[in-house]
Amino acid sequence: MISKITPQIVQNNSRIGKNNSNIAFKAAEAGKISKIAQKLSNSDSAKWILTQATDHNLLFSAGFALLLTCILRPASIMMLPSKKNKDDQKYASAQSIASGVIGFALSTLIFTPFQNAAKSLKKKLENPEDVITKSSSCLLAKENGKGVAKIKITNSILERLPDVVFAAPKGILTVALIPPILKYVFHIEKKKHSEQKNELQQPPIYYGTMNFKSSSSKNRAIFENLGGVR
Amino acid sequence: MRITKITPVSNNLAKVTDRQINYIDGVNVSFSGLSASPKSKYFEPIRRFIAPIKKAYHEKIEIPIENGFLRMIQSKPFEKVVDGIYNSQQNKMQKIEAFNAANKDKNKLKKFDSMLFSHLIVIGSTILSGFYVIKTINNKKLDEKKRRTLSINQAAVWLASTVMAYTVDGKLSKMTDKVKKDFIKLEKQSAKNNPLLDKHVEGIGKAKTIMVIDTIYRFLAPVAMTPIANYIGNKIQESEKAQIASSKL
Repeated sequence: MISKITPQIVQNNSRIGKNNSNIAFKAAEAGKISKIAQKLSNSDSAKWILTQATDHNLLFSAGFALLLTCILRPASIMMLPSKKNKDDQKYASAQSIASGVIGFALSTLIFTPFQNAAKSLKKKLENPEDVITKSSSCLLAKENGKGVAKIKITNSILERLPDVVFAAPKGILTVALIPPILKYVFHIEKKKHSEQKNELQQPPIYYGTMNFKSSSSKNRAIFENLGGVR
Repeated sequence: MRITKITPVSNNLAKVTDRQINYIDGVNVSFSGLSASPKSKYFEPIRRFIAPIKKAYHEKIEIPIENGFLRMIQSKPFEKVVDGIYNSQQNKMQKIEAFNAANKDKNKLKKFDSMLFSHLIVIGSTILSGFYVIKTINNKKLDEKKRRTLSINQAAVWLASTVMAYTVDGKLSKMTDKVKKDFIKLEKQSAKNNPLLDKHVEGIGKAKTIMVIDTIYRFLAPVAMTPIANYIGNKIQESEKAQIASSKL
């Protein structure tokens, strides 16, 4: 119990004299609508992109990767300061563009039927009893919404399954298809690595095989040791 | 408008035969694949040329894949996988409920977010990076040291990118929840009726995870690690050059 009410207690426990605009600002912030939501609701193209993100995940990711590899990465590579390695920068940017284009093309070719099949199966699994013949399958369970939750899990797995299965073959094909595109489209070839190889793989000179005309084997052995053969 | 087939829905429907009309409800007809917008005359010959190709593509490629998926769903190993995921999700939900019950007074309540989608994306990229690591280890054109350094670099890039992906994805979840709520509010307030509202809302979350994880795996991690990899590679080359120079003398 407070026996005596002093001005200090009043100041500490009331908002008199304090900045009351904070409350109004916070209330306005809570009711504020985000700009992203406004932009999404106003444009039809953004809504089309969102439907593609739900129905065709892999194609959406391939398209986004195309943007990254064809625009952002070459720009970041070329913007780095370098005096000696301009050719390296060109090669790296061309490689990223080629890998992006090949990845997009392969993913559209391979993944569209899988995505369309998964989409149509998702619609049919809203009534699972009509589609599933196996009576003991776990997707037909009706206790506590088990079947519905498991159907959701199956749909999400079917949407991403081709990416998991075809990741390695797609990687092999992209790695194999990049050099011809670099050669015939960008007219760039690998040069630096061959020069390095000539430097590193210079064979040692075997002085022992040289024609040394001397009968004494001692001198011959000394000469052979000069070359570091033994 | 062309109606291809109307089949009654039966309980013993084992196979998909053709694109079926889902329901007919008086005036509104719902069907899959065709659009109700008016089509221009000028593209008709192209459409006539493409139509049989589309039909063959649908019959010979999409329908067998769909039947394959149906068979796979009803197989035992797939059911085991789904049961495992379901049980893990239930355990997580129970833990969150216990936490929320214990901390009712505090404002910070946890929410259940199924991370299955992001896990699947990460699995795909781990398989790809593992494949590249194995390829560099078996590459006979490179020296052993170079092979080792390259494989270690690729593994380090993978590790750094997975950690970054999960952290950034988790931190942006609040923002996406707010965007979803505002989007639903705006769509309900507007005069136009949006029949695909659920898809759009789901798409916001999925697009965010895809964009975040793709930028980190394909752009940020390689861009951050290439200077380090170049530094290590240059050091190795210098040491090898010194070795060759010493062997010549």
